[in-house]
Amino acid sequence: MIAIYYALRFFYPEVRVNRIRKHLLATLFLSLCSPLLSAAVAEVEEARALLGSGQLDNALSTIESHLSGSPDDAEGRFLRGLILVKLNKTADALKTFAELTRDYPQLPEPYNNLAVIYAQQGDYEKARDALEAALATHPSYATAHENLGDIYAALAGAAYNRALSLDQANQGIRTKLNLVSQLDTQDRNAVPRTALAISEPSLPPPVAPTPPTTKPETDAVTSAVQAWAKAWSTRSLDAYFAAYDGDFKPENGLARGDWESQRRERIKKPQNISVSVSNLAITRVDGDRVQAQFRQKYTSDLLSNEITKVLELRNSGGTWKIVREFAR
Amino acid sequence: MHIRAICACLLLLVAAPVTAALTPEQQWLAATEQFEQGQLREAERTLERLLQQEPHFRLARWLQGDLLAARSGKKIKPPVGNGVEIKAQDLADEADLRLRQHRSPPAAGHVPDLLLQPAASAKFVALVDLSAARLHVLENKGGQWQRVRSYFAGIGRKGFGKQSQGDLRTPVGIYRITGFTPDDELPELYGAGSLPLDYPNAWDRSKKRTGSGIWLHGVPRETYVRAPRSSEGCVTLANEEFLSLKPFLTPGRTPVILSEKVNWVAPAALEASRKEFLAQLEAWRQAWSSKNTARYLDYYAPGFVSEDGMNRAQFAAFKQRVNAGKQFIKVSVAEIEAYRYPGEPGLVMTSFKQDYRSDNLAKVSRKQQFWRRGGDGRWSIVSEETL
Repeated sequence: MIAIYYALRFFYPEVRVNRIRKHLLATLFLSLCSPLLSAAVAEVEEARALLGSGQLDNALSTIESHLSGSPDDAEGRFLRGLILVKLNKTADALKTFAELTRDYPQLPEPYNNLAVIYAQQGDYEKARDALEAALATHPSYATAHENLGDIYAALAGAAYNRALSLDQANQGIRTKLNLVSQLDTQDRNAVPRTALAISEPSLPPPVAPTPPTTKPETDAVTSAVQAWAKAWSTRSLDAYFAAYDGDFKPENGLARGDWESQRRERIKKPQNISVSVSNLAITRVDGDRVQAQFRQKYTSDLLSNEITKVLELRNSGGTWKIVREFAR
Repeated sequence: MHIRAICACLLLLVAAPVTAALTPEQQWLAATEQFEQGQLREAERTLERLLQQEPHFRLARWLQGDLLAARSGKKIKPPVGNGVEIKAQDLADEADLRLRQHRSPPAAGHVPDLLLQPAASAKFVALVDLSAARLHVLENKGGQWQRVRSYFAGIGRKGFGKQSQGDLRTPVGIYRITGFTPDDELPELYGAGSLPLDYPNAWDRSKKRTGSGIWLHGVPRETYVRAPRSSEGCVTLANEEFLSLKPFLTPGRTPVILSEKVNWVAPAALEASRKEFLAQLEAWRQAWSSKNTARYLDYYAPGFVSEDGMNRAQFAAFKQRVNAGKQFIKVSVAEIEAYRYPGEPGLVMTSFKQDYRSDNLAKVSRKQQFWRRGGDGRWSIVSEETL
């Protein structure tokens, strides 16, 4: 009897600080506009807190009371799905995420979580399809990529077993994947036409406009971005990691060390990589930070894609280093 | 059964017309090439279609494993232990054999050098290239032999060159089919049916080879094909391909040639060999017909043993006595068949209708002879018998 075990990974990504900040800002703004809305938002937050502290039944009744008033709230429905997962109400959770993918096909997170449930049920083909749907709209969605990697690994193991006509073709492999715990609606403008979502109102305008970038600054940032792309293309790991600031935090909630080893693996794996940068636009975030947004064309012998990438860089002692990296 | 048939029909309807026409092997080859060219997505789709059609095509399943492993971006090791390596090696061998056939096929227009002169009535010849694990069907199209089918074929666990019962080898030689046994009269092991061969033939018997029950047959439904070397000496084929052979193979008539390897030569080269051999046969006939007994006997090899057990010297004495008593001898031959005999360098198996007339005897019979071309280029008869 041959059993294959693959490295299992399961974690709730830490809810990122900046997201919470954004979220609170939105909440604050809404509470100023409408006391009714703010009550609804408070209910979602309460349910989230209850989930966090393990009071699952209370969390469920709280979110359901919220949804009875706002049945179209994507964030609330998503949270309900998460609570159902924790309660092991798998069929209901599956239905919840499936309905979200139907109503908000542009959101990758529900697809991801749907995939996680399919995978737990051993239905890797469906899990794969769901993840590919997530990546179709968000090609650089790291969690989906990781999960898809695990799914493919499980499918590969099952295929090998079937090829050798081993009995446990679809048993013994239960990959646990990353469940996404929060909708990233702010970043993705995921607003259904019919529903009122908390991300709808724009954030309050900044109090003082930041000064525009200067020419020497733009040149320095441009060459920093180009150097980063070159290090990646030439698979020079030292130069590549040197482009990142000590304070760099990976977007997908990975610890810095895990992120580094993951990057190391992904950069080493292909025979060749080519990364090109075009349509670069640089905007100031604050005194010593800028955002560089560009089209990133990635080609390797294993994969190729083209996405809009944002690097946030900080000037530390005259050199620009990456502090954030995400896809838009 | 019904459901499977319906599914197959639906599949044909949805699949593009091009894919519908491709054999499972061709689809596997296409996926392999897509994979090699880095078209992972296309390869994945090709394999999904193929595996829907042939879920037990293990080699395709294995390729799917490789493909998914590549897509995962991780290092996935196929399972090991408990003899699984042997099965994996079988699949690697099968892949190698199929790829080699695909990448270095016989040159266009070339013909197997074994086919000196198949019977004029033989429209088809089945030729198993044992080292390539391949069964070819050749069709006589206006005097030219053309490959019309080419299938992966599994052989004996210990390879080929059968000598004795239980040696798990597939014979090398030229055989006829003795009948057809349908699926429902056979254990599941034999799949869609069997076409038994007449091993051991006259040549095998002269070599004291033993064993029996050498068949061409299908495979159990749990698999698409059997491993390249996995039978007890039979030749195994995918069920569908086995069944597709039936219209080509006529029991008692179609030659089934099992050869350790096949030399494909230009038709002109084969024609030269054919003429060289037929000239020898004709010279032998003339020597006999002209009562030139010394020259006639020159054609019989030193180790010759007659059908009724006479050695070369006894046979010579007998022929000299008989021929001397004749006023005339007239021998004519017709319906000549001739093949190079596989596994025996320089050996030719021939048979013909012999019309023998003399002043005191007339007899029409079919004769089979084995001729061998010696190192000095001289041809001689090593055995003959009346069929």
